This record gives sequence, structure tokens and C-alpha cells, in this order.
Amino acid sequence: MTIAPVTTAQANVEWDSPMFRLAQQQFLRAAQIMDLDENVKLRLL
Amino acid sequence: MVCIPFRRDDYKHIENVFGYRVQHTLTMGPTKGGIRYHEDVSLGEVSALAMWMTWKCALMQLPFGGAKGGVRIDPTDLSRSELQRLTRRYTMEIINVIGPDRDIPAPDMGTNEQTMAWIMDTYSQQVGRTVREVVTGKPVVLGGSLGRSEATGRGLVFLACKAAEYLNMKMSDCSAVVQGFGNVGSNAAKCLAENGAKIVGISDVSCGLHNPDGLNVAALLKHVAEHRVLKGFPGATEVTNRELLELDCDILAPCALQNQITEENASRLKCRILAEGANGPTTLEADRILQDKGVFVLPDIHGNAGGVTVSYFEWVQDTQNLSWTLEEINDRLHKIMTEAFQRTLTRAQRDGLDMRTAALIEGISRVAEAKLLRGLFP
Repeated sequence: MTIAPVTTAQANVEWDSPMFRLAQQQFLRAAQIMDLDENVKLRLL
Repeated sequence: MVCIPFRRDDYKHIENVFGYRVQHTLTMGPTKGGIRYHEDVSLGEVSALAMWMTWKCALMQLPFGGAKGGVRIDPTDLSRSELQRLTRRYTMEIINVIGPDRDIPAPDMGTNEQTMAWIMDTYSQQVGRTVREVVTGKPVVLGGSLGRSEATGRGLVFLACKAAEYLNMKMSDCSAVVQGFGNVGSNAAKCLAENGAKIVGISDVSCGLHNPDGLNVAALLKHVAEHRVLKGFPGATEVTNRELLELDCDILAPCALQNQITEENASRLKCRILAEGANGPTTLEADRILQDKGVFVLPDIHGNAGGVTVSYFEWVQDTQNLSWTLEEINDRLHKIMTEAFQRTLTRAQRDGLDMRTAALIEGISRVAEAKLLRGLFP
């Protein structure tokens, strides 16, 4: 019964990588400068 | 995300490891990206690399979206037969999402042309015919392209030469430091030396080496072939990784790991050109410092795009049953790399941007345009 919460927590840890944060930050900065359509931005993030 | 059980060589021991394959966007065509075997592989890392692959392919105007895959394991801990079993099981776990018109894997950290041969064979066994174009970076005898293994390092040096030309620097007067002596670093060092640059610093996992009078790349390659690592190479002073990055040089090529040039050390870098062979070696904060210092940055999505470009050549050759000569491949690679350089530089100058942001906008705008033109289903 305790497996599911642990797995969920692990999944969050999986996403939390410095490299992913860097890629997202770079993308968001470029998207802001180029005034990228908000819907397209969300679909590409 | 898949779980991969495989047998160790002692038959009773079954190992369970995690594997990943992330496809960032399907808008541009099939997706393309490497598969890495490393103990630190995670979903976040693979996703970041997949996103960068999208911008990289778009910047080079290749008909691919970005993807990346990996298995969280230390491949040096496995025998050849264990690696083969792991690779074949991983291929089976992701077989429904890969394919020559769907998603085309390639080698990355911890994998090589043998790994690609096993993936191609496993896929081919399942579909009942040989499908060479399902992976790139294969051995040449199985449909691999000439020039593929050295393409990333070679492409990086094509760009370094263009940057030097733009900055009115002569390559024969340039000194260079290369961080990393794996596939990318060793080929970058070799090509830099071929173009007349003096390699004054180099490193691998064992140590960094410095010689202001220049290091002989052929002798370095021979030493590594005999001793596996750079440590113990005669005629050079050992330096730490931090000292290596801060050595006095014209060209610094980080070709090893992410997150190497940070807010902490960026102000101490002495290079004029930063040629990024690794993915994500520079943080956003460091970027601002480098821009203020006037360092000319060749960003990773452009700097290491030579690999995926020659992978594209391999896919085209396999699809059409053609074989290009090494000269044809290097000429095409040079043309694509330098045209992308010119587009990026023009945008950077026109809009007052740094080279990284200009390269990203070049890539993102191409994907965004394609997405808008395709519209939204239904």
C-alpha cells in the first residue's frame, strides 16, 4: 500500500534535474525575446 | 519510461534498471536523438536533451524533431554479453515508438556503433527484414556513414574556424584548451591541431594536462590507447579541472560534462572563443558574465550539431541506398554548419542578441512556424 506514494515522489524527483531547468529557462528567455505565441510556447515547453 | 530486466552473466542474477525515451516534438518529421547509458540518467536529463535536439535539428534545418533516450546504468560495470542483452531488451521495450519514419536513435555517452548494431538487429528481427535506417551511428559495414564518428568534433572545429575568421584571428596563432578526451573532445583536439591551433590544455576523467608549448595530439591518442586514460602522459603538468578551464587560451572547448562554466568561474575564463561541444556546459548566469566579458560563444545546440547532421546524412544514404564519399560528407557538413553560423550571426547582430539566444530563436521560430502551419487537430 505504500508503493504508490513513494513512486509518485520518485517521479517528481526524476523531473527535477538542473539540466531540465536550464533547458526550460533558455527556452522561456528566447520565447520572451521573440514574443512567441503563448499557445505555441506551452505546446513546445 | 520502461523497466528493463536482464540477466547478468551468472545466470541466476537478474538486474532491473530504468530506461527512457523522450520525443520532444513530432511536428517536424520523425524524431532523432541519441541513447546514453550512464548511472545518472534521469527523466529530467533526457527530457532536456530531447528539447535541445529539437532546436538543434531546426537550427541546422534538418527534417527531424528532437528525442533522447537512456538507461540508468554504469556500462563499464557490464560484460559485452550483458550489454548486448540489456540493449536488446531495451530495444524491445521501446520498439513501438522507434522506427525509420518515427524515431531514429543514435549513439551517445556510454553507447557506440556496436550498441546501434544490436538495436538495428533487434528491430529488424521483429519486423522481418533488415531496416538499416532505424538507427544511425552504425558500423560502416551495416550502412553506417563515413565520417560519422568524428563528425561532432569536426563540426565544432568548422565553427571555431568561422568564429576565428570573424574575430580576425588566425587559427595558426591560436592556442586551444579542450575539456574531455572522449569521442567529441579527442576529435575536436585532432581537428584543431590539423587547422594549426596549438593545444595547450586537455583533460579526461583521470586528470587535466597543461603544456604552454603545445601537446602532441597523436601522442595523446597513443597514450590513451595504451593506458586508457591521460594520466601519466609525459611532458605536461597535471592541473585540476577548474585550473584547466581557467588556462590562458584563445579557444576553450568544453566537450565533457554539463554545468562546467558557472557564475563562480565564468569571470576567470581567459578564452576569446568558447566552443561548446558538450550539452549544457554553461549556466544562464555564466552566459551573462561571458557576454559582458566579450567572449564569443558558439552555443551547444550549434557547436555539437555536427553529429546529428552526419546522422541525417547516414539516414538519407540508407533510405536511398546511396554511399557518399568522406569528402562529400565533410563538404556537406561544412556547408550546413557554416550556413547556420551565418544565419545565427546575422540574427545576433541585427537584433543585438548573444549567439546562444540567436541560435535558439533560429531553431524555435522554425518549429513554431511549422506548428502554426500544421494547425490544431481537430
